[in-house]
Amino acid sequence: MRTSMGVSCRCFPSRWLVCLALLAVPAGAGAQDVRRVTTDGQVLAAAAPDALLDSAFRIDIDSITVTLDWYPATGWVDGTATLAFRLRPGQSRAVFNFTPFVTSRSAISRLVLDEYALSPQSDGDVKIITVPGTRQPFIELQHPLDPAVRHTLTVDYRLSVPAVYPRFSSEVNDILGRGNEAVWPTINTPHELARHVVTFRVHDIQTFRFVGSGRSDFTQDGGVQQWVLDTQRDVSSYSVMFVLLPAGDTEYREWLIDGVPVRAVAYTSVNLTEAKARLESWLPELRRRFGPFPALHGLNIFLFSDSGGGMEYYGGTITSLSALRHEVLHGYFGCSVVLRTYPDSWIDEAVTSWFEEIMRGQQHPLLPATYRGNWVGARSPVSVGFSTLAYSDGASIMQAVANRLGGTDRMADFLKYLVQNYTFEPFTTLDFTAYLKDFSGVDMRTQFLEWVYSGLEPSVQTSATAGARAEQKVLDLDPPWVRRRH
Amino acid sequence: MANVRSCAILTVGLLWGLSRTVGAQSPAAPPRAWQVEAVGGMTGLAPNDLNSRVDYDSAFINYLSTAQIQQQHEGEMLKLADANPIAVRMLRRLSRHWSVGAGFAFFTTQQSSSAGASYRYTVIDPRAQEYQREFSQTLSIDPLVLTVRDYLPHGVVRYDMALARRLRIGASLHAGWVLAECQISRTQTTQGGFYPTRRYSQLEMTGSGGGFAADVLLSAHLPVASRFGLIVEGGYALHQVKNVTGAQKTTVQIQDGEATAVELEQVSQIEGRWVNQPVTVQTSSGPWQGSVPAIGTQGTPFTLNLSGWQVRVGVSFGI
Repeated sequence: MRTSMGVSCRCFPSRWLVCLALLAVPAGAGAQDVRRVTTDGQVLAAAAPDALLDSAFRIDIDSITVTLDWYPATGWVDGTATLAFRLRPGQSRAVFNFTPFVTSRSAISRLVLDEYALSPQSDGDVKIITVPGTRQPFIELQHPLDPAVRHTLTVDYRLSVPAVYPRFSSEVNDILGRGNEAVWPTINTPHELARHVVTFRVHDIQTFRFVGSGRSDFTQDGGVQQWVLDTQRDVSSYSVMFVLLPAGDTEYREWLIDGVPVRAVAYTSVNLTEAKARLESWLPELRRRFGPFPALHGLNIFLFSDSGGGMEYYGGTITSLSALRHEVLHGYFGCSVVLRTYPDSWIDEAVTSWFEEIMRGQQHPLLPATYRGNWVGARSPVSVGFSTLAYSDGASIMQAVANRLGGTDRMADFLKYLVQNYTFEPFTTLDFTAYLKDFSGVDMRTQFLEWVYSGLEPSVQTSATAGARAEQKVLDLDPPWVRRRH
Repeated sequence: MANVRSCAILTVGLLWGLSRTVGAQSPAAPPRAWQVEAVGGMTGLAPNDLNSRVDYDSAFINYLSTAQIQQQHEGEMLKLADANPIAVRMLRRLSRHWSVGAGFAFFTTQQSSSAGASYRYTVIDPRAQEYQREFSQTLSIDPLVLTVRDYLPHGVVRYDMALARRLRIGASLHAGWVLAECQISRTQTTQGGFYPTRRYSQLEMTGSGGGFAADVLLSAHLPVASRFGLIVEGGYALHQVKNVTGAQKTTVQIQDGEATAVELEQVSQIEGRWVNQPVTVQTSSGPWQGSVPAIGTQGTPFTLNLSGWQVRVGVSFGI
């Protein structure tokens, strides 16, 4: 996301506060710590929060299939969503994030788990729970599930979107940590990747335009305009873009720029000629530096104004013209090279800010030698949002890495190495340093610990184990259809 | 200032009445050669450069106050406006009308205040990146403490004369080198906005300096015993220190969003000359421009102005 916020320096030790927060995580973790190891045998930091993340997010989603019937005149959206998932290691009860369940539970009309109807209104079947370390609510299915098999959860619901203007679009805000859980049930964390197939059915007499994160097929079904959006691969749910707008208010262009198919929807007030010109210089630069544009379908954009911010999505962006380059670069870093947790997502913002601004001739001041930050360490791995210091201090950190590597070109080579080797392989902040060492031999782990972990190694193993023990106490609540494990 | 004036009028009136009463009972005694005086009273103050911090903070807290949005306010930022000086001096009478002497005057005063505001509104823009954006912000400055101290060793020249049988009135010039100190202590918390930010900052500034100072006072002296008398005096004290130097320490802590601990703490310390740093606050009614005391930045020279009208009452002992 493109924004502009404050900067500072020097930090405050907070390891114990973080550890206390993590210790309180409920719900089980199997502590099956499948550590990943670099070529020189260094244990990757991502291994540490695995058990904690599993205990919080609990399910691994294979696919999300959604049908959304939108009635622009009334603002109603009737949805049916099906999640196909497996339990993560050590888990027995599924959870998911779905805002309407929290804000208007009565809007959930049907809940079916593995063909068994549950009562959405009954705490005996489904309960809203909290997880220490985040304010994001979780919906917990109260019936333990067999971890050995694939499960499906189907939800029928009604959303209310503003009817003042006929627009229906994703409104993800990664700084706030708000993803598409406002529109369909999912797991709102960057590392949870799933293929999304979303069908949009517009019930209105006026003609609409659609762009989204993936291939889209249009059909006219009687009086209903229908688009089926298929991401074609597993992506983070919060990186799925969709935009439905009246055709009469917008322009639509298709361009092929340096081999990348670009589809642009824009309000008529936006300077599309300038947008095309910028992409004609920017996309070849990105492809030269980092390789093919990652999204299989190309780049789909919605330009809403000439100035302002923007939000990146997989193979797409909802953006102003001024933030276009920044958001398109996120197509590589943030939406394809994915960070493991929200707090780690500072890296994609830092990389993007650094490179885009360097290409515009803007320099980034180096952080003082005494700089000690804690912007990853102060946040639980299960928290949402990331530090806005990413835009300023984070870009300065990337400048420091570039300096160690020998300059912008060498840094770009390292970033290309990440794209080539770790696209859709979510990693943590300290993994980043390990990959840097793999690539160049430059070891900046200590500096990164100083910059974003207050100089301390993150440690969550104890909390994850404690959570696993707590979970064992609730296993005897299995309903009849669940096969027990022994 | 009105307080100082009314206090002066009241005191002179009381002294006049007392002189009439005492004068009717006993004859006048000649003034002693040596006189020790101790007085205390009130002074009005208007240290504008220092008080500019109050103006800025008020503008900061109230930056959306003229907007038609949901808002709540509490407290008020207060300026330094007065102090209670005390002084002691010894005078040697040289002739029937003239006396000279030396003394020491001092005052310290502190103004502590706090204020806060919260603002909330919703931006609805159907054609924007996000249809609806919630703005919710809380600002507080608690406390803002302004402190000044004024030390004035001085020489005194006084001309006085008898009025009626016992009362003597006079005019005196007290001149010396004032040593002054000033401090700002301020804690600010800003929470929210469009994003769940939390910024906490602390400012500690100390400064001191010296300069020529002079008090021009009218006085009335009423003996009530052979060696003991009452004294009341009032006038204008000119105390300005134009070269204030000192130290500034700022601490900024950032703890945004779901951070469970401070994400970043920035501590900066600097020593040097106080200046008036130009500042602008974007408010709902347009940009507010002013200045704040600062060190290590560009600005006009800072003046610690501790001048003001004074009125004092006290006692005198003849030796």
